[in-house]
Amino acid sequence: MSDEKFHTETEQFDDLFRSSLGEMRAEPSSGVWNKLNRKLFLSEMMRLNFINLPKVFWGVIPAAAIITGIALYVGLSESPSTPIQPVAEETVTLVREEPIGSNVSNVSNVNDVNDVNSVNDATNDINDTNEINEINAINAINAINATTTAPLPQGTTEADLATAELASPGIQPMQPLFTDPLLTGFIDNVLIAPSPLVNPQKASGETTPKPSRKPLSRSFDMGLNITPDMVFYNTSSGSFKYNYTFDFGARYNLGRFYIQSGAGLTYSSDIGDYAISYLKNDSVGFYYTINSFTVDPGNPEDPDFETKEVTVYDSIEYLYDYSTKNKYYYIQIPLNVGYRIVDKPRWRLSVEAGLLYAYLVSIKEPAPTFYIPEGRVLDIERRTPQRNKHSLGLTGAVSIEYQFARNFFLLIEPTFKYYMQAIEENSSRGDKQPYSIGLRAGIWYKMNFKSKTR
Amino acid sequence: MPLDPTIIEGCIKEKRRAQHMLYQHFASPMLSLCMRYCRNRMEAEDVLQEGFIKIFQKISTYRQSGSLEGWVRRIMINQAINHLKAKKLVFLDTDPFTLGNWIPDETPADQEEQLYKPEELMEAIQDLPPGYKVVFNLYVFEGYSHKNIAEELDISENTSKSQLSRARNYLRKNLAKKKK
Repeated sequence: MSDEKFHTETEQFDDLFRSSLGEMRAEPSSGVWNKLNRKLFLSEMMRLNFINLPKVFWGVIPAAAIITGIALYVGLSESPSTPIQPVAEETVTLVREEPIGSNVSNVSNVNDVNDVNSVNDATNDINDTNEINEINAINAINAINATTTAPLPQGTTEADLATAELASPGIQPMQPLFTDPLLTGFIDNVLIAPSPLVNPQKASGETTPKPSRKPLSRSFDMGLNITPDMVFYNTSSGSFKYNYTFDFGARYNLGRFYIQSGAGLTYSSDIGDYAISYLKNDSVGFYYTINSFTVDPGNPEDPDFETKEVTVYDSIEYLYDYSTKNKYYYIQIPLNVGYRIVDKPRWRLSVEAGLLYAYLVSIKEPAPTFYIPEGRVLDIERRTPQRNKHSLGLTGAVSIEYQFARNFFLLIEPTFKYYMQAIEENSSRGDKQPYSIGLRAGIWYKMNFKSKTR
Repeated sequence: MPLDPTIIEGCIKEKRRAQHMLYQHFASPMLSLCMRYCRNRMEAEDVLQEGFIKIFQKISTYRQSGSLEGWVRRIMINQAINHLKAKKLVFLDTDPFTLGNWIPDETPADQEEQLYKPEELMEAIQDLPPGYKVVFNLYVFEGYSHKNIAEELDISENTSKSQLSRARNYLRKNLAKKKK
């Protein structure tokens, strides 16, 4: 066969494919765009590009921000102090040995020390009439501020106290009544504090209550949760995989702080890739052998050949990709510390952070099973790296709890995990340190302890 | 049909509606292209998806003076080749002319066209070993010369010729088997 004919035939052969498939159209399944859309959306979110966020979010996000802001404001502005309770042993008490007012005639004007005029009037009167009372008043202040139960000097009146505090520019400080160094230091510190005289209760000599410390509420919670996670790392089958964790959690609450731990079982799946190379005898072409030929005497230039087609075989190396579905099970142990930002009777909002340890307890990697007729397997190359046995990660979460029964509450917790080492040993895949985003949901039981006042 | 320039502008601004319109415009011919490089439709759809992600990422680099379809096609082909390379693309470096006198069979091409449906031809291509498949596609459908193919795949021209020749023979045998 001539080269020209050879080329013509091959061109025709190529044209067969060009004409049949060159303009061929194949409609992709609807899932392709959905997957593409999802990937684009995730990619945009990673770059904090919110251009394609659905319009409804532009209404929901500000509303959520406002609600969260209000919740945070209310939560943070809640007074940390408890209602004032009289505590006998810590109460400042003035003990008078004798009734006041024996030598002051117009003390009755000083019933309300907030009324500055009346105080000043009374003060002037007192200054004019009795200088000794000023000395007594200062002594009385020392006595009051020293939070002792020392008796007031004899003859001290409420007006004396008012005088000393409000209208005695010419008075020189006096030596404190107490010489104990510890007590003296305390008195000095307390003296610069606002006078208790501005407090009507103190001015009137009533028992002065002091805020008691808030009793720290302690409680213990236990719960069962499930967490679907999207773990971002390069796999053969996509840029992220889903993990599912079922866990038991335990939490010890102390005031607004808590510490949380537990144990969970995580299921993870991945594609196991194998490359199987094999040799197979295959026809690679054919040629004609001449068995005999006949020469026509009338036309000796053009003999008739009797030919036989001979197929050419050769060992050709083929590559066969084989995939399996591998399953991995991890035990996860978290240790988190959290702070409750909002603590309402029905619902709570907390933030928490901590560590997460994961141990690979079970691997299920089915062996490749295949059949290659008349082939000889040369090599089976495992392309999926082995997984690391141990893994340590950092976690962070925002926890939202809603109490729906006396001791039960629901938990919704967006979580973020950052793994400090790769999932796979000697991994050549892009993300050495993967991360995950998940949503933990569960039901918890609250066990209250009796509060103790410290 | 030419594409509305506002769609390209929308894609540059990452507007999803514009991206969807671009996808709808090119998805069908590009899936057909991807299917020729892959083993099956599912794999081809994965390549198509990854290819479109690249297109949307790089569309700001597209110069509107050139053909958009050519640009999109170029990205898809690269994506398909990368996909095959990731699956250990092998080229057996053999000179075709050392294997003997290569003679195609005698069935005229116009008869063959009547014999085979497009789906059968597509299946035959999909069954080709990856090395044969890439070279056959680039030579027959994309109009690359052996020199271009050699540069593209970082192989020798002889290897390209060998792969093409083997691919043709493989296809002939495969199609013949299908008819039996």
